[in-house]
Order: sequence, then C-alpha cells, then structure tokens
Amino acid sequence: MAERIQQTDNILLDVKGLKKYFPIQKGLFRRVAGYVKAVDNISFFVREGETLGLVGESGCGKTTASRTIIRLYEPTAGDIHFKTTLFSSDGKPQMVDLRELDKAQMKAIRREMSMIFQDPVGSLNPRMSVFDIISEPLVIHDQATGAEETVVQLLERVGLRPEHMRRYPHEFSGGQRQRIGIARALALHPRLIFCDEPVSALDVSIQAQTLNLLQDLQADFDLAYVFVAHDLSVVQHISDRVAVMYVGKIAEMAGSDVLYNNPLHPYTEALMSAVPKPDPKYESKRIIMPGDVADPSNPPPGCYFHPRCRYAQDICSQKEPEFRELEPDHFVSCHRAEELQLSGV
Amino acid sequence: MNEISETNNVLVEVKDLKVQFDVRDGIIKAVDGATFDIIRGRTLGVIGESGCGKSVTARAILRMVPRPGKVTGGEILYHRRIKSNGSEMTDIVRINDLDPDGREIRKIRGGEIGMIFQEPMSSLTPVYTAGSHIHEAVGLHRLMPIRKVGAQMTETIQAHRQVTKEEAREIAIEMLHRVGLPKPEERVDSYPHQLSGGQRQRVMIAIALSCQPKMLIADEPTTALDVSIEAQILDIMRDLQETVDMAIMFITHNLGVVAEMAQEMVVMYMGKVVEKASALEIFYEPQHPYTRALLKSIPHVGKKSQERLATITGMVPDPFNLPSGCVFHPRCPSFMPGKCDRIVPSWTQVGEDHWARCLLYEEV
Amino acid sequence: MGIGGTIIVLISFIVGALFAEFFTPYLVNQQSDYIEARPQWPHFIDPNGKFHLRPFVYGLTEEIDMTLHIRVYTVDTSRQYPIYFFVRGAPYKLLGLIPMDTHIFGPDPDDPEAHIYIFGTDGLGRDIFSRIIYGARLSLLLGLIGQALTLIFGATLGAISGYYGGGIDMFIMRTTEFLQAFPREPILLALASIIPDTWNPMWIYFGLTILLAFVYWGGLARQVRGLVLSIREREFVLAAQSFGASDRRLLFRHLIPNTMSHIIVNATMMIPAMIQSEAFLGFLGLGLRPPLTSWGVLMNEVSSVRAIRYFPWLLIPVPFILISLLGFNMLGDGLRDALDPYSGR
Repeated sequence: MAERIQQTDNILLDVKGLKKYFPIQKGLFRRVAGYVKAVDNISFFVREGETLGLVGESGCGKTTASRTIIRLYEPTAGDIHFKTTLFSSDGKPQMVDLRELDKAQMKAIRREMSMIFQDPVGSLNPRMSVFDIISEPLVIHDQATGAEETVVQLLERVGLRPEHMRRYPHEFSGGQRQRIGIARALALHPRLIFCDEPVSALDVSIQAQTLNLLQDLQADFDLAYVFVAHDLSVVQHISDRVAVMYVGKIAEMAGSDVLYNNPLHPYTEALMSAVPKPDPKYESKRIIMPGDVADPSNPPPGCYFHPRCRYAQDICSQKEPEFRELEPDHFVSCHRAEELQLSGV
Repeated sequence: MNEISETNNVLVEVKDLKVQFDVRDGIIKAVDGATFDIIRGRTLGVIGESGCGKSVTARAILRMVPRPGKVTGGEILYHRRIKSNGSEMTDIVRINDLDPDGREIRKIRGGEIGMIFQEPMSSLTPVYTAGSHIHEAVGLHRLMPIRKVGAQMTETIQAHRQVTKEEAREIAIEMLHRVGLPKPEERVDSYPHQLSGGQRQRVMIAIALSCQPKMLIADEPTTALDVSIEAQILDIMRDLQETVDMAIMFITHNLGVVAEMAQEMVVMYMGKVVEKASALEIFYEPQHPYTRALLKSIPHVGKKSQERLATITGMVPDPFNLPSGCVFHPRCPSFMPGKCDRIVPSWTQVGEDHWARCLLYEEV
Repeated sequence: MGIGGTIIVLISFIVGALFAEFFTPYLVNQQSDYIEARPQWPHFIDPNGKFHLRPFVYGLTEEIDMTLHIRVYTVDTSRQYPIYFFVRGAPYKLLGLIPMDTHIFGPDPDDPEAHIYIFGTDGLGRDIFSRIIYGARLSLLLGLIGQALTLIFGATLGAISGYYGGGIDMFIMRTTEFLQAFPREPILLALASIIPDTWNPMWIYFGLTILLAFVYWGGLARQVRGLVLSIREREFVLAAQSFGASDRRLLFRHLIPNTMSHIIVNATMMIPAMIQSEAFLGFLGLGLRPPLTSWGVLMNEVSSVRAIRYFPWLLIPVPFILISLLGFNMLGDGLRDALDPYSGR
C-alpha cells in the first residue's frame, strides 16, 4: 500500500487498494468459474494540475482502472478519494470517498471528472449533431440554458469552428472527432480528465496536434489528467508522473524523467528497451521478455512477472512483492528492487 | 558477403507506378508516380500516414490491388534469378503485364514474394471490400478460422515447394519454432482462435517464410501488437533476413520501427514518393519539408521536453480536390508563393543516392 | 427496379386499397348471374377490323357442359360492351364517409346487360378484379398493423432484455427460444383454429393480428437484444454514462435511435411474412373468412382442384401477393442502404 507522501495538500485523487474482478461464467446456469483480475490492488494518487501516465501492454488493466474509478464499472474493492468542495458546508475542499456516495451525489461528482475515449468513430453518437454531443453533459446536469454559447466557446477552444455545430460526426476526420470528444469532456469544467488512449488511433502528425491541444488546455484550465496509453514515448512526453502496469498491478510508479532514466522494476527496464527508437544509429540493446503477457484470469504465482523476468529468483515465484516507496515519490513492487542495477532509456 | 554491384542485386524495380481508384465521387490517385528499388537481402522502409498510398503500392507489386483500383501507369520489374546450364541468369518478369488471376503471379505470390499484414480490423479504408480480403486469404495464406494451423501451413508449403506431406509438417514445426512459438509441435495442431494476436502474427510470418521467398512485404505487421511482442517479431524478422538473405519491404507509420529495421527509406505523401534515401540520411539530413515536419512531430523516449511538439499545420487534403502544383504546399513551412502552387515538382537528386520531390531543390 | 420504383408500386397498392370502391367497377360483394365466368380482355379492334378509341369487351354467353357439370362461358363477338371511365355505378361511401357512385371505369350504367369482368368472376358471380383490390385493403393492413404490434412488443422486450440483462434477459430469451422451436406454419394453424367461427369478423381480424404478432415477435426481440448488447458497449454510450446520464436517457437518446434503422429495416422485411401467413391461413379456410375479403379469403376460393382446373383465373390474386411481398422486401433493402450513415462513400 502506498504511504502518503509529504505534499498531501494538493492531492486531487487518491486511490488505495483498487480491485476490479470480472467473474467468468461458464455452463448452462452461468456458474462463476473464476475471475479475471483486471485490476488487482493498485494504489496511486494524482495532484491538481498534473498528469499521471498509466502505461502498460494489453490486459494490464489501465483502461479498466480508469473506468472503475469513474464508476462506469463498480469497484470490487478499494478506496477512491476525490477532493471536492461540492459537499462541504463551508466551501472548503474535502476528500470524499466515491464509494460512499449515493446516486445523486455521484452524479454531482461526475461534473468534476470526465473522460476522453480512444475510438474517434465509436465515441460519438452518429445520430447526434455535434451541438447535441457537446451539450449533452450540460443537459444532463440541468445547465442547458446558454448552451449554445458554451458550445461555441468550446468548439473554438479546441480549434473547430462554430458552424461545425450543426454537422454530424461522420463528416469529420479522426483528429477532428477527437477534438469534439475533448470539447465534450470540458463542457462542465472538470478538474480531472481521464484520457483513455486519446491519440492511439490517430496519424502521427495529428497525434502531435492533439497532444499539444491537451497540454494547452491543461495549462489554461488547471486540469489534472490521468493519461492512459500504451505508447511509451507519448506517455513520457505528456506526463509528470508515470505508473507502469502489468496484469492488473502497478509494477512501478515515479516521476516521468526518473522512471525513464532510472527504472527500478525489471519490467520497466525491459519495456523501455523494447520501444523502437526513431534513430537508425541507435544500437538496440534490447531485453527480450520471453513468452506472452500473463493471463489475468490465471496469473502466475508470486510476482506476476517472474516467468519473463531475467532477474527472477526463488522468492519471486513464491511471494507477491509489496508495492512500496523505495525512494521519495518512487514506488516499485519487486523483491529485488534494492539490489538490481537497471538501465534506463 | 560478396560485394556485388548494386544493380546486380536489385530484386524488384518499381518505376513511376500509378494506381487509381474509380469511386462514386470521382477518381482517387492512390499512387501517383512511385519509383524505388528493392535490393536483395536489404530492407526498404516505406513510411507515410494514412491515405499516402503505401499499402496500395505493396499490393500492386503482387497484382493484388482490390477493385475498383487499377494500375494505370508505370512498371514493376521482378528480377528472378534462375540457374540454367550451371550458371546463374537473371530473368526479368514484368509484373504489371501478368494476369492478376493467372498462374504466373500465383507462383510468385507466396513462393517468391511473400506478404504479411496487420490484423485487418483497424486498417480498412472505404475502398477495400470484404471480398478482396477473402480473396487474399485464399491467395496469400491468411489464417482461416476453421482449419488447424498446421493444415494451412502444410498446404501452403506444398504448394510452393516439392516436399511430401510429412516433410511439410516438419518444416512447419521448424518455422513455428523459429518464430519463437513455444511448444511448436503442439501449436501446429491448434486453431487460430486459440492463439493470441501476437502468436497469430508469428504464425503468419512463419507461413510466409516457410516458402522461402526472396522478398517479404510486411504491411504494418506489428502495429496492432504490444511493444514487447513487437520487439520479438522485429528481431525474428531481422534474424531470418540474415540467414536467408531475404529482402524486406517494410511498410509502417511508426518511425521508431522503421529506423530500426530499414537501411533505405522512402517517404510517401498523398500517393507520391516525396523523398528517398538511406535511413540514416532520412533521419539525420531530411530534405523534404514533409519529412522534416514528420520527424519533428514525434515524441522521443528519453528526451523529455515540456515543450510542445512541432506540428504540421492544416490537414490532409481531400483526395478529390488536390491542391495545385505541389500537393503539400498548403501545409509546407517552406512554401514559396507563385512557385509551389503552380509547378508540380519533379524527382530531383539532392545528394548521393538521395532524392526528393521539392521545388527547393529544383531549378525552375 | 430501384427504391423509387418500389415505392411507387407500394404506394399505388396502398392508395388502391384505401380507395378501392372508386378504383373498381363493382362492389366487393356485388353478386351477379355470371357465375365463375372467364375473364373478359379489353380490345381495341372489333371483329370488322375497326379501331375504337374506347376499349371494349365482348359479351359472354352461358352454356352448361353436361358431361363436366360446369358452366362454361363463351365469347360472343356480336355483343360489345365499351368500357367507360369515371362512370356511374353502384353507390358507396368513400372511406366510409363520403357518399359517391363514380367508379374509375365500368360498364355502361344504362345498359342492364353490360358487364365487364376483367379478371373473371368467382362462385358467386363477383368480379375478381374488384375483390383483389378490396382484398389488398385487409391484407396489407393486416401486414402493417401486425408488424406494428410485433414491433412494439418485440422491440420493447428485446431492448429491456439486452439492457438489463440478468434474470429478465434469461426469462425473455428462453421464452422466445421456446416459441421459435415450433415450426411456423403448424403453430399458425393451431392458433388460428382456436379463433371461433362465431365471432364477429372484426374480432376475428383483431384476433388474427394479435396471433401473428405473437408468432413473430420472438425473432425481432432477439435481433433487438443483440443490437442493444452490441451498442451498449460502444464508447459513446460509456461517455454518456460517464457524465451521469440516466437509464431513460441512455435508452431513448442513445440505444434506441441507433437501433432504429435496423429495427425499421427488419420490420419492413417481416411484413411479407405476415401477408404470406394470412394468405396461407386463408387458403386453408382459417383466419379471415367471408364476408370479410382479403387475399387469403380469395386464396380459399382456389383451394379445390376443381377450381384450379376449370377456373384458373381465380389464381390471378397470386401475382398481386407476390408483387407486394417483393415490394416490401426491396423497400427494406433500400431503407437499409439509405439509413446507414457510414456505409459507402
């Protein structure tokens, strides 16, 4: 479990021990035969105005984690604390446990957290006009008066034109659709936005435009981001801190520069070395991880990564490592973290 | 390795290739004058964003451009080496003259020039019909879902090599082992849906390579895969290239991957090849403004910068409404009014073995 | 034929059915002495070779065939009955409201001998052509109303099933599976025969519509459920949820509009099945019965070998049925192409 670090004053989101298990149903009567442990006991925090990158390969649970925190899925276990002034009588911000909120309160909290999705085609309702799409959050929260003006402002802020309001999603390119999704996410002035692979489906040059836009918006509106992606270079560029996930757990979490230059977890090291560098002179000293990513419904015993880890020892297959803060603001879950000398990028 | 002169080592020559698609709203010039060579034993990287025509170019080499596309100009020459009377001769096959359904091209497909693809879901453009993919499945050994992996492999192997069924199965198991699949003797009897995406891709490579082709066309082969699996597969490809002396035409939009795999590179934009040079030169001395802008817009791991990424202004133009003159001019930071919007740049040599299509380097 | 042509054909059928009294020379139950008379084709050239602008038909002379014991009508070229247009005929009330007596074509009202039976007559001397047009009224209406009921019933249950899942889903799906396990025609027969003969014809009609809806709702429910299940996972639905959209909003603003086009297409394509079922039941003497007139009732009159052998013109309703079946199928196809915003560029 993560221990609180010194600067607690501006922590916006504090997640402790989050779990999300999906039951596997088999047979005629849908008996529960096991669980897919999509998110298995993760803890992290996000400060106001900063970007936390969540990176990992398929099945690591990064998307599930963000959807669980925003309660699109119900958490199986864990605490999710969010700082808000919505429920305090004196207007001072307090940390509220999202799992203890009732329906109406949760709906109110949704004004402060929103999400941007990956698929530019699937994330916009093809039968709604751009105006309807962007103003929907306003309508849901009874703020529909003056919606048109708000939508115009949002469109301009994301680099689109007011006349685009009347059009439909299929008339736009992938990059433009993502901007519409971003405008929608901003409609209620949230404090935290979950960006779920927002640029993965875009071309390289559009990716750059979109990332710049996200950074500009962050500065203008003092937004915090949880940036989920599998592309390490993108994540490093935009994040202040990064958490590396593997099969539902966080392997390592640290400041962006620290993580990339000074990793403490073998998986992080291997992952970094696997990223192809856009430099033909670069001699790849690639660390190959044998085999495939572990199966979240049937993970290996002990440390989930041990079958692919080149530093594995006996204890690694017997006991699950603890997620601990080895250095200030540098968390890792590896039995051998102290002794290993790992190389960064 | 012997130092044979470059021209003797050319495997496939693409000369001024033009492919166009007749669709309901007009004509799309998917490829508009592509020229490059593929050298034996070396990798050519083809880089570009969606709609630049790189995939269509690859398919044209195998006479597999789906309808309503057709090759409207240029040549594709395949230098086939044959042994006759004890000495080696090179027979030049004009691929663009071959019948797309004929025996000649089917012999080449898979047997002499292999092709592997990305998982089809994410790369479909509106002009490719589902039917053409099934056609490919049959013609290019895509994995059919209802048959065992081993059966599909042995069938392909036997189609291109003179071996018995037992020998073919042995070859299949050996190839599965080479691509890093654990327990290949068991895997050979499994069905495609029992394998993960990365494993399926490896099987595809195994199939493509089991026929010992002289050249492999790899169209975004690792784009849908996790980084760790991608690393494995790139290693396998490079490894096999060395042992078998196979040329690779590697198509991707991922600049990291192409930097690692390719010795020579070709950059495409809106159907045109805009720059061609060695990979080193492309990355370190890019000449075309599009190439430069592309390189500046990618984030680099290890070099953290709080700064914004450089972007290319504007958007990819409407294929039915292409800009006049140089097709990149509305977005070009080096735009020269009066020139770039009026004159179409031609293919100019800008260095030793370095070519670009830009009026900055042309005398007009 | 193209969707334009299809729509024209269907509309002409529907208009014809609505204003049947006007479009037919005789009333639906208007009996005459010409029993099972053969069709009288219109001619323009008389036996002397003279061309008449106004078409005419030849009279019929009745004879009794003693060996076969049937009436046989022969053409008598000496009697010619011109066809008059917009002619006075038997009185009726258009749409049940407006009293009129004009028919679009018919025999000379002042000539008591004149008769024009374009498609011949049936066993009670009634004009087949008129009965076909009248029959369209009930048959097409049955198809449309029956389908509307199926739609409401099936789509609602399917949507609930797909959206809520769990026990309700299981119950509804097992029910549809149970119902669909029975072969269609026998179930229709069994249920149709339950409808008592003694009922008022209008009650029989309602009974029949409900019966058809009962047999066909299962298929639609399953389709809608499948659609809802697939759309529910789309990111734009998740997005709406993430903003706190209520169930009602999700169903009516997001799920149903995106299934609407599929539902309409499927419903349109199922109308032929209803028309066909009614014709089938009628052929066997079940379902609608005289004094109601529908295509099924007309088919019943051809249900004996005697009829087919000696009075084959009683089969003329068949191509009309086929055309309407084809028409609705093609309409469905055309609708499907037109309603999908992402299909084909």
